[in-house]
Amino acid sequence: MTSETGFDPALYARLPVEGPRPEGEEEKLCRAWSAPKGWQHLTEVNNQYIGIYYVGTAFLFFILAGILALLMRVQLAAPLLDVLPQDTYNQVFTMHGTVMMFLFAVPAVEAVAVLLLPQMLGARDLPFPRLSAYAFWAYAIGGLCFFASLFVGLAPDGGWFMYPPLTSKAFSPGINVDFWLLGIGFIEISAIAGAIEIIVGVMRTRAPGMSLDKMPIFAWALLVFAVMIIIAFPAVILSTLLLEAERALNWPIFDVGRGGDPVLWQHLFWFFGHPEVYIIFLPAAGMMSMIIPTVARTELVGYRMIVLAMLATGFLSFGVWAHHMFTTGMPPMTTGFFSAASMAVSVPAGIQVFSWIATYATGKPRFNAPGLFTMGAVIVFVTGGLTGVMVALVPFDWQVHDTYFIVAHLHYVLIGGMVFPLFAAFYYWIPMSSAWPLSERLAKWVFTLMFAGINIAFMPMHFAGLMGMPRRVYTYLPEHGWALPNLISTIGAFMFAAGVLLFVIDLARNFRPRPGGGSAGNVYGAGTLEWLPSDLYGSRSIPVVASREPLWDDPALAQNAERGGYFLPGSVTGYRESLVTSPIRAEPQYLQVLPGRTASPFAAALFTAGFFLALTVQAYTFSIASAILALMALLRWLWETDRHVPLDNVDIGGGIMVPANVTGPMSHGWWATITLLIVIGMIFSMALFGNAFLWSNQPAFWSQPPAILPAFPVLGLNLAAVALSLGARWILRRQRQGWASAALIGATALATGALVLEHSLWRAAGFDPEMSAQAALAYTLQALQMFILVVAVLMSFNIWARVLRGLVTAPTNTSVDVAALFIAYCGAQGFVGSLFPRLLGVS
Amino acid sequence: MKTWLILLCGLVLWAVHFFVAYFIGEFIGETQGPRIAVLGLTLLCLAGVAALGVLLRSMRPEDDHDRWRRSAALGTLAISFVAIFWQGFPALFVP
Repeated sequence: MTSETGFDPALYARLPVEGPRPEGEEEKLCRAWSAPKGWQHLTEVNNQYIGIYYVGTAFLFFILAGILALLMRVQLAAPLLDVLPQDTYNQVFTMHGTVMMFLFAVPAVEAVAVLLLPQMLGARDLPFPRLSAYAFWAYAIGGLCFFASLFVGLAPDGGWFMYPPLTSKAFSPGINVDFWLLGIGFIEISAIAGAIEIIVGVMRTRAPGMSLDKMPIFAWALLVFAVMIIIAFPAVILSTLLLEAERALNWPIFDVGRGGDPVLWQHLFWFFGHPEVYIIFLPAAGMMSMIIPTVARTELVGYRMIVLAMLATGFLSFGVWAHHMFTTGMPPMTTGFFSAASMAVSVPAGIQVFSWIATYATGKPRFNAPGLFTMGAVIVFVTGGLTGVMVALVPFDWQVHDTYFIVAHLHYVLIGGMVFPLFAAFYYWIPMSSAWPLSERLAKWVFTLMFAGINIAFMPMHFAGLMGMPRRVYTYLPEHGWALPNLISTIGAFMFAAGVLLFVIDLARNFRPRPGGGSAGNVYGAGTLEWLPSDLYGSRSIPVVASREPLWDDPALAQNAERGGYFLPGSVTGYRESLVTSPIRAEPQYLQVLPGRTASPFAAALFTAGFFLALTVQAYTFSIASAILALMALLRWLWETDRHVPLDNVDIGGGIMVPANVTGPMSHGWWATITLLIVIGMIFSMALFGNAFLWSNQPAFWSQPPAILPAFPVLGLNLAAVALSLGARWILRRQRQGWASAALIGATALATGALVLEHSLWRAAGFDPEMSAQAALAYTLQALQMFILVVAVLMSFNIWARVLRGLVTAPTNTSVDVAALFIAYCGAQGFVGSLFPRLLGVS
Repeated sequence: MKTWLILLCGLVLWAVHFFVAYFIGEFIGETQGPRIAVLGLTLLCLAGVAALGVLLRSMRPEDDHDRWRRSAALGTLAISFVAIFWQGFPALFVP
């Protein structure tokens, strides 16, 4: 067998180790992973707790947004009703869409990932438990504050995609829009934090032997999902920053009167917004592909085809963003590219649907709760997919754009593609975390009401749309003839809600969380690792994986894992630990010591939320105080990170030895840093795209940018910063910790000097950010550079402080690696950010 | 890295084709010249996909994982071929 890291796969034959385990081994493991008590629940970072909190909060937002939907349906049940005033209706539909998309759909799948992924991969936890905790608390606190804006009449009211100029200061002078911009920007940080965790988790913490071809399909789906998040979400972060800059600082980026363009917002928003649909769909499809084989009692048909379909969806979905913009007057050939891509993306989605149908056909499907919901999902999703191909046709889209036909289409896709699979997942995986499974008898009622409800609610909307009913109207006249389809839709919505209510009743009766073991267990007879007997540390020992359904193929595996026969049956260091494996063939590489309970993630999330909230309501003193406290919490977190383990090599089971301290490209910290830099790079790339877009579309307002020659010192300083920063790693290899830290501080100083010089050059050339969109975008590039340089300053001084306290190991150190990479990136971004706007001259 | 290159090479070519075609349409224009450029790009990318297909088929897998990887990569190449082919049409037909 080929090896990826030099590890000899023949060593796996030593496992499971026979015979009794050493006395006290299990007790030591239990001590390291002890359960929290009282207030400690706020500081817990174990995925089994955070995952349950996370799923529960996402479901709460589903209920809240669903109640808003019912309010809308009551208002539209008959013509000229006055249940909701027009302004309130605007807030309600905006919050319904926003909460469903940003606070339910994406967080729900991240939540399921946090809960399931470690167990499914055979890991003790995800590699950055504090990041998961931070992502959760930021989302929960920020989301609840955001939702509460509805109760004081300050909720956003510009629609969930917030198009300017409607949302510009001139037409939306209140702070409602600011709530959306700052709130969503903050919540997206949480989504990105979760995505980084998932990528590194899937790539580096799989059980030994779980090579890519044996990885659970849900893990594949989450990998593609997380990569899509880090590529797509930066666009919405940038666009919210730009619109907030326009509103707060009068930077006219979307103002056509000063060289801006509102269509730029649409490009940036939909570059995020359409992949978002697949970001939601893919993990749900991954859940379907896990559940259906168990329900059908056979192997998944076309595992390989589903993997390639997921990869293809991940790519092709980035070529469809402008199909939301067919009516904006884009050039015909460009429109054609997006139309073609929109049709092409249905091919990989179709591959997955046919694989599911084939799995049902070849197996013996059971019509239990997960089975019903997966079958319902296929029907509803395919219906939505078919109308999706219809609206990919440009002339048809022109006719139905912004009508209820689109509302019907998107709800079929999202409910079939995400909500039904999620309910199937609830029924399927709840026995893993709860003492009792949910009721099969009630489930049939839940499914019937929800399936009938969605079709009765949304099928008539196709007709209402074709009859010309525009979306987002708060009422209509009797003579329009829309009363009957609207009344039927309202009845359907309440049927759907009744199904959800029954589900909540079932949860109240039967869901009894058991993170520490004692769950109902593998009631459906599934074959993947999350069904191993588990405690707070996951499975007692981490098994060697030899197939995709190891529990089906090795009936003794659960027993051997439970008695500690495989990897990490105890805690070598006395702390929480996990095993890091290689990215392709999952060969054991090193022992990772995981952090235990800490207040830092909760405090950082609480005060970051306080900062954004106070900023929105213009309470600047409170905002600054919150920012300082958040910074202190983050620094504390940073300080606790990267502690040297006083062991060189440790026995992880069967006499197999791995190192306990690893740095450089092999370490999980390096991988996370690279992923973070991709996120930052994407934000920056989107800003460059904005420059090019305005240069191309608003030539009448474009001025000659400052010359390149005077910028040579800026370019040179940035290149020097890159070289010096990377040189810090070279210096450290020569055991000079102090000089390495000085190099990092010097590199940051050089990049900062470059930024100051760059700013003065634009100022000297007469560019004022309030005068033109071109100048505003140039200064936006500088603001982005300033932000990352502030982080670089903190990082370099953190290294200095660590050197003083003797925490920086030589010849290599992860903290130095991370800081060097980050500061080198700062230099590179400063170089490109200085050069690019100068290349866009007046043609 | 090699595994990811093998798995994703076809899709990367699709991405190159899509974004270059988009940039030509958005930033250069839609006259005869850019249309021919898009068609040329399409033919080039299709040839690239075909060449990658030949290269992948000539690789000798050493174990199950390699076999799986090769066959998944050939699948992504097939999807990429269809998507690139389909995406070249607007330059030919859209007035």
